[in-house]
Amino acid sequence: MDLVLRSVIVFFIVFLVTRAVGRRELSTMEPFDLILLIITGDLMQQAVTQSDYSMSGGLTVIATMALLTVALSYVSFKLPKLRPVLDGEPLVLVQDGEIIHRNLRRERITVDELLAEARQQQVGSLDEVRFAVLETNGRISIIPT
Amino acid sequence: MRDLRGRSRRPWIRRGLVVLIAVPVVLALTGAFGQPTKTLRAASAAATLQVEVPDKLRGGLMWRARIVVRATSTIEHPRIVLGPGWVHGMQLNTIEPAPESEASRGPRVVLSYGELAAGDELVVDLQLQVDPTTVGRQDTSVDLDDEARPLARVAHTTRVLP
Repeated sequence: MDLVLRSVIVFFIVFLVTRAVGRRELSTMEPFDLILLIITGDLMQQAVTQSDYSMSGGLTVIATMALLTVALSYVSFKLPKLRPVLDGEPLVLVQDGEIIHRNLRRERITVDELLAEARQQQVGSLDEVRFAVLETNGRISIIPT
Repeated sequence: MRDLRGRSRRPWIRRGLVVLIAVPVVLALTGAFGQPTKTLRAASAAATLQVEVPDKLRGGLMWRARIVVRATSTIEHPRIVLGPGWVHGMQLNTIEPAPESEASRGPRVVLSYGELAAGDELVVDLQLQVDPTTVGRQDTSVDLDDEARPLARVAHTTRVLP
């Protein structure tokens, strides 16, 4: 029983941390971020299983996490009002070539990062951008004019 | 149409799998995978013996047990005799209070304590850890003797799950 409770608590801690850190940081992973993520995973595993080395324990934790994932996606699907909280919302960064600085600040994205993202999508200048949108998965979609 | 044949069943297969995934979670919540502690009692004219021990454990788990002896008449040489499952395949980390002496009786461990007068209570706490490779039934019975004279016995088996 304690395994299930610890799994639930850790699941929601991970959920809160990923929502708080921001989608951009999680999608553009630098080596430091990657190492931090691995360390976090290891610490979370210790918090859940502690000294438990058993298969039954592992099965319980995996099943609990899987059920919570299904439950969360079901809640997000059934309750559209909760969707922005659970999944986040797309955020417009550039509209008709104009940078929306407030949204950039909100997600801690610099103009240089935005320009780099545009270049990677074969767009030479922000003047050629109709919309640049930060998607809920942390990627930036660029729609040219 | 040929490519879509049989696909209508797929959501139901997936839903069935989700229900299947829920089974171990429900079992774990009901304590089927351990480690709720159970209290067992035995009594004789000389003493009562109470043992708090889990029925089910898992490999690697740390766990605790408590043995309580209440003397109803004087026990000159109280001996707590632990079944082989307390030490075989387990790490016995702590016994508090430590016994005056320890001995073996075959695969059993005998813990000797000082005299108990009528009305005295001896509480022994044990802290243990299951060896990760241990699986199966462990004899975690406890006997209370006055030197070699049996006074009370709590028979118990703990199942270690893989």
